[in-house]
Amino acid sequence: MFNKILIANRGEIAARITRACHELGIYVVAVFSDADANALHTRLADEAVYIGGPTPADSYLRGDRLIAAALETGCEAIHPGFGFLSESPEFAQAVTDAGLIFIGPSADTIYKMGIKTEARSIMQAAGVPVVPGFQSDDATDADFQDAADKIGYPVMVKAAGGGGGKGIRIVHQQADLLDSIAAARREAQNAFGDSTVFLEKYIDRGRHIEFQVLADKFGSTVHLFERECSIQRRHQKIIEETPSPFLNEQTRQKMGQAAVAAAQAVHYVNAGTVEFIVAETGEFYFLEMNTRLQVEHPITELVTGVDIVKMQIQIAVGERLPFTQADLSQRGHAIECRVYAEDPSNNFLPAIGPVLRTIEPAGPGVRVDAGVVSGDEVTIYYDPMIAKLIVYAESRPDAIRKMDWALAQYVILGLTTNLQFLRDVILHPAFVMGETSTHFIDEFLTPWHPPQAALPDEALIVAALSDLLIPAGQPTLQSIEENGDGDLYSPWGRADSFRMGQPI
Amino acid sequence: MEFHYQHENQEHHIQLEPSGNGSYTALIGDKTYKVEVKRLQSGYMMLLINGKRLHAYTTTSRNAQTGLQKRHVALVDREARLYELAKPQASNRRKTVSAGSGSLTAQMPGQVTQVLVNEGDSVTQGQPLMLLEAMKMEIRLTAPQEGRVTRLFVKQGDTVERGQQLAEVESE
Repeated sequence: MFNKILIANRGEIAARITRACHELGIYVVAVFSDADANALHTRLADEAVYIGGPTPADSYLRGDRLIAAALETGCEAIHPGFGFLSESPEFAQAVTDAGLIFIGPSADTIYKMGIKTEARSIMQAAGVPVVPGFQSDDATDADFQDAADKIGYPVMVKAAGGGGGKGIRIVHQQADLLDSIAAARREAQNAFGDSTVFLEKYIDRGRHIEFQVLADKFGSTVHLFERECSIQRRHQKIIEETPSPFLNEQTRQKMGQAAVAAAQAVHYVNAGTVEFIVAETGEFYFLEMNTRLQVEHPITELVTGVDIVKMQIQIAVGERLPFTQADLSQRGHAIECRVYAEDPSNNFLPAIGPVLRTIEPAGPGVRVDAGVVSGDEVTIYYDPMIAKLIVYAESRPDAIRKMDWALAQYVILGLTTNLQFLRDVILHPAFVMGETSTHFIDEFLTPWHPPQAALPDEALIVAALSDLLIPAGQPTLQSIEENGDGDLYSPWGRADSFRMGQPI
Repeated sequence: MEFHYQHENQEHHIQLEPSGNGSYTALIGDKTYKVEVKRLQSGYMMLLINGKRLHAYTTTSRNAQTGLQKRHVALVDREARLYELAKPQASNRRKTVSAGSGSLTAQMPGQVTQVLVNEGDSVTQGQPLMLLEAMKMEIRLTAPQEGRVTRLFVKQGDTVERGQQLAEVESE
């Protein structure tokens, strides 16, 4: 096992990885920017190395400084977490070249999966279903028309060099095809300097369902079943669950096998996620492979009992997977909600500032992976996620009830959060029925307003009582540091002969 | 004593008076509540309000730019309900012992247990001037600024009313 590793990340996931390391007896080196000098992940680690300014480009994306920090502190490996450099083949290669172990797949695998057309052709060759499409450099209008007919409308015209939604047209009938191709070409030429377009079947109201895979260095590859990630806001997932209420056992088996085949096709090692789009008809197609840990990995951990982060480390050390596919099963139901400092009634605008107090829910089947706790701050520099709240229960209705309870018990003072919004999502009749899609929030919960309630007298009583008994204020963040004897009324501050257990 | 808060542009007033044994009487509008403090620790309190149990978390914040003070309250029963109450500036001054004018008044009824300075003494900011006992708790009165104690209006053993002037400190 490793003795010491560096975690090239911050926030909740750095804290999560740190705890896994400590459990395995591994010392942890954290890295931090100016904005994170007192952050939770920095406090939890055994050592912390300063790596630069608050913007990611000046710190968490500085591969050179991360590797230097790992070498200086005597680390043997680097865990990239997710985001930042986790899917950079250059970083993975540089880590390896520095004589360190990259806890993740090889640079070559990351590179191949990062190019969509490359990934698509590898998967096709491996027999993994990809979205039906048509691509040719010298196709005539007639070729495109034939291809679109064969694929079946609606089809998507996509720019080969594209991204960010540019150069994309959805075509519902043959009459519009050629105009759309011409328009997409113009747009692609302007945006990317490349007018090449290709066709892909448009999967309307598709569901994003992903499969977790694990592979060791000895060729053993398993999947840990699916995660349903269809509830999104601003194209970012906010609620995930497993099992998917949409999949039947037969489709699940087929998709699991396809996910394993996809991983094996690129000789995948470590933890990864194969994303599929599933049509309403139940047909599924490979979308992409995420060559890293996912934010939503805890729900898989709860239903399978496998600690994915510990597995990542053990695989990187060179251990064999301790189970085969036959040993793995899903049991019960898990849901994750991403608790954000943001205002759901105002376009999910991030809320910035100190978190004065957090009281996390606790109980059987309730897990909180927090990156921000009482006294921490949400800054403008990073994702404003406060924590992931994950529940596990016997059935989906049971898990929804538990999540509602846990969200209701979560106290976060000082910042606007999406806690109430998340409750409204999971209690919405459509969610309860399992009718989740990527359009869910637009369709059912836009616009959204927090419930308006008059100030109850109890709140006034609590406020006044606090101001009466603690006139200097329950010490605020600043005054805790500035004022050592904040508690004027502590019996231990009394100047008389008061002693515990003595007659007064 | 009276407290004033703002919540969503509405003024709220509450009068809170101790009634002995950790109990208080709260007056809000024409409603009266008996409030018993069952537990009080680092930003958490458990109260009985007219016999009904209430768990609450509370903390304060101060906006560095505007100086606006807020009290944040979470009432927790089957679900947590969160409220942010702004403290109007004027009542802050009245409530806070060491704010501003140089004149020190008793913020709650009690007894002067000790006077630590004499008239004419030079004091530094934050230096304790006298100790009061109120509601079985000891309260220190501290100098709001560096200066000289020009007047002492009370002596050890005196009983004082809320708002009664206790001392004057003038900056030199």
